[in-house]
Amino acid sequence: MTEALLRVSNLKKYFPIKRGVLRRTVGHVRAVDDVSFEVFPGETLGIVGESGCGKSTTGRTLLRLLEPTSGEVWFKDKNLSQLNKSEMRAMRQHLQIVFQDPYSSLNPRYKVGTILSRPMEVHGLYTPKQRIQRVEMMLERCGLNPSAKDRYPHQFSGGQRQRIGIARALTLNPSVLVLDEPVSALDVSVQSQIINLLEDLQEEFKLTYLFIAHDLSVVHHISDRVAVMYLGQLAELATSDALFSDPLHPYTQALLSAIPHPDPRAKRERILLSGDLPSPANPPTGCPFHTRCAHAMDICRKQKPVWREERPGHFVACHLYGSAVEGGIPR
Amino acid sequence: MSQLPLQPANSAAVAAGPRPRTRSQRLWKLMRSYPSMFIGGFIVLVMIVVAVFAPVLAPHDPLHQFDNGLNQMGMPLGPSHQFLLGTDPEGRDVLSRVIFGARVSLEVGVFAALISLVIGVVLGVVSGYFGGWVDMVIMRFTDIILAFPFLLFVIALVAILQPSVANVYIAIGVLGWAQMARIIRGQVLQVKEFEYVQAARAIGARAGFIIFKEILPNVLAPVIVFTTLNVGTNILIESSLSFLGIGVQPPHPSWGNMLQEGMTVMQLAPWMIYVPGLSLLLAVLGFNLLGDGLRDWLDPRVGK
Amino acid sequence: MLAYIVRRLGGAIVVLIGISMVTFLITFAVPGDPARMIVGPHASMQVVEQVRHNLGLDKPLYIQYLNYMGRLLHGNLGYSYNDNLPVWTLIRQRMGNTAQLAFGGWIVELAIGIPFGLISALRHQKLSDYVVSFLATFGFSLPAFWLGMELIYNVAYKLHWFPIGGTGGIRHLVLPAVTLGIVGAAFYQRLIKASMLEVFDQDYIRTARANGVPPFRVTFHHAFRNGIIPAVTYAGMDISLLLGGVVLIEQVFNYPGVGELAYMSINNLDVPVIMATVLLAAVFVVVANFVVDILYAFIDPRITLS
Repeated sequence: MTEALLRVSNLKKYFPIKRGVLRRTVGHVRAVDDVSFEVFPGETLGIVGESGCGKSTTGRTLLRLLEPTSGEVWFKDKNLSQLNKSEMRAMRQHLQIVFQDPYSSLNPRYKVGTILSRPMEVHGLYTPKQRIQRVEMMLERCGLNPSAKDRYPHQFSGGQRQRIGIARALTLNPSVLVLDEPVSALDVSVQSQIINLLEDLQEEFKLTYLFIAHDLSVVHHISDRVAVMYLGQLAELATSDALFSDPLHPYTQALLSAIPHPDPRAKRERILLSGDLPSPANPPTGCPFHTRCAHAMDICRKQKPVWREERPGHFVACHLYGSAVEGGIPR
Repeated sequence: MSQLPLQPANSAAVAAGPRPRTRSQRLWKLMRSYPSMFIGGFIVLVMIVVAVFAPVLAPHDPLHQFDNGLNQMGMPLGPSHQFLLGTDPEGRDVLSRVIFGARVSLEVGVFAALISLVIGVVLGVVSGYFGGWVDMVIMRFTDIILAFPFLLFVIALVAILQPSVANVYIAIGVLGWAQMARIIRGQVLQVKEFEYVQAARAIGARAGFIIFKEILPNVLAPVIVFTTLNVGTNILIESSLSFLGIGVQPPHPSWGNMLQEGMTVMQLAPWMIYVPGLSLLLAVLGFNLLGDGLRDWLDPRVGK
Repeated sequence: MLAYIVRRLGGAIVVLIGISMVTFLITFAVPGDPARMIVGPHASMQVVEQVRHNLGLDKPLYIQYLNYMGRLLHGNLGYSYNDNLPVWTLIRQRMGNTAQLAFGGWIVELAIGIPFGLISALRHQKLSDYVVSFLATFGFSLPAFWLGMELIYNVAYKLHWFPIGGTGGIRHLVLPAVTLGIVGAAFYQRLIKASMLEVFDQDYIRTARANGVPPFRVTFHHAFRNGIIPAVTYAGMDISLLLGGVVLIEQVFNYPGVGELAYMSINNLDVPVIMATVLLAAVFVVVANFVVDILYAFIDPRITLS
């Protein structure tokens, strides 16, 4: 197996909750709670989960746009969590991000050309003339007319703006791209265009993607492997095909059963999640999913399930597997 | 909602009807949509011209005491061919003094506003961008400054530092930044949440770069509006100080000290209070109209 | 609610301490020697040193500040350089007059500002709104002391409707109160207009209208109560403006209040009196703001949550 390009181990991000007269910290929102995974060169790792499960925070924390509470992020042989501010700034060349909202991610005051040459300017790359050439090339690669550089962001549609956002991330020639819900703000018709573009660019520039989304069908389409997140923790991680054809975790099963099937007559059992999503400020003890799980057992309330490789390359955190119960869930 | 560019914010209001084609048509459309901005702008422009070209425009030396400037009783003269707006109790030409008075007013108004602008923007940006205890200290300091009745505070400070034109605008400027700092802080807090600021961090930009290149351009509109309004307020305060005798010192003319001189003789020489008073009103009105108009034009969300 | 009150009180106390520090620093950063100011220019160096020692001016700055604080907490605002009377006595004699004037000004503000604000909101973007709004900008731009002189000249001197100045009853109060109130009225017009427009945009007002509640009733029964609330929060700021305004207006109308005292002490460079006026005014503003915050929290319970 190849060496991982990005290794995240035991990453945690807690946000303090302050209350009272003295604004004392009375608790923490555990947005990301002990998450570990690896991303291999050239692959797309999808991260899915309901809104508020911490998937975006995971993306931003591993880029240190938010400072992690604890845990490590290794990029090649560098420990990102150990870098000082200026080393981290330099490192950002290799790790870029595309944001969800194409309207607020571009500064309305600047022309597209300025926005796109900024990253190169900041890192002192290329001569001004080369930057312009590179901006034009990137716009073209992202399916826009090079003349777009002389226009302002508000003159473009949402899809076009997202292309600009992608072009900006690529100007630095990064190896890893965190895509933070890059299509959820777009119309469905535009979504597929952007997905296709991302796939083309991945091939052309040998990019590694961390694709964060809540839309399962989009993730299924683009990802090589998929991680499922629930309440700040990973529930399951497997290749896209394995996860979608044979999900192990009850939560994954529930999520998948909610996808509309192309054949309306197909006989399927829908698993409805009962109860509300618990607050990440006060997560359930034991397995975070036990409050809504149809298969919850005594042990689930008491003990946190270990993250185990149930099948080769197929990880799951659930007491139904391994020694606790033989045979898994009856299906 | 995305941050508005420094262009007509509600261009819908401007662009109602067929799209104007030529530049002058567009200007006309703008003037009709924001009349107060143009009326105020015109008044301000006139005031600037008067202040800059005062030596050319004034018919007489504002300090010269004319031998024929008083009547036999020693009282000031009413408007005449030689003294268009009459004379003052010292026999000086009121028109010339009013024209030169515009200079001091504008100088104090603008310099004080610039001082407030710099202090307010720096503290507001630092407070909003860095947050935490820095924010808390700066905002508490702002609360303290805002607790003092502004006019009274300025009067006390100038009285204690010795009255002079420079001390007047330093005092106004140094005490007048608090409102600006609050507004800027609020704006920065808002802008900071936009993803383009996160994007700038993601490309590896430094805090200074982000503040100057990404945040400041987006808080420009309220800065311009507030500074314009501030000039008007400062002119008013300068005249108040001069009226109390702690601003511009006689014999140098300022609208405030002219009103002070006029107060004693207003029954006999009412022009002595009408002329500088109306000039003062017009100047302040000009800046206020311009500021309000700019606010409507640039950013309808700021302040109410 | 209790936590909210405690937090506000803490904030107010911090601000009060800050105010005392600022006034202390200004008082003692004065160019010139306070001891010399007291004994006059002809006294010998020895006398000056003696006075300086008596006043504690030879001690380190923070000791001086603590002494100053201690005196303030005992209600001692110092002694006038001018006639050696306690500053508090001087101010107390005139406080009633100034309070009357400020109250009168406030009545004028509300009496003009609220109806004008309502007109603007009800006739939004119609001719009457434009006229009223321009009048507000105009009023806001008026130099109060000049307006006072014009009123004296035209209304008192020419028409003899009111006395030219001084005190002696309601009639003496009318012109200065109007002068003081007109600028503030412009603020209230803007405030009431903005908040009423906001309220008119709420769903419950739309519901009331859709249900056929007559416009008059919608305005005064449903909207006005909520629309008027922001005017309450403005009171602290307003007191600050009124107290600034009285210095000029009392001077113009020859009205014996604290403002006139401040003016006289400015001319004599009577620093203790000047700074005591400033200090008291600021303390008054802070206390008013605190009371307003608490009142506001009772009117609108959402506030305490933030």
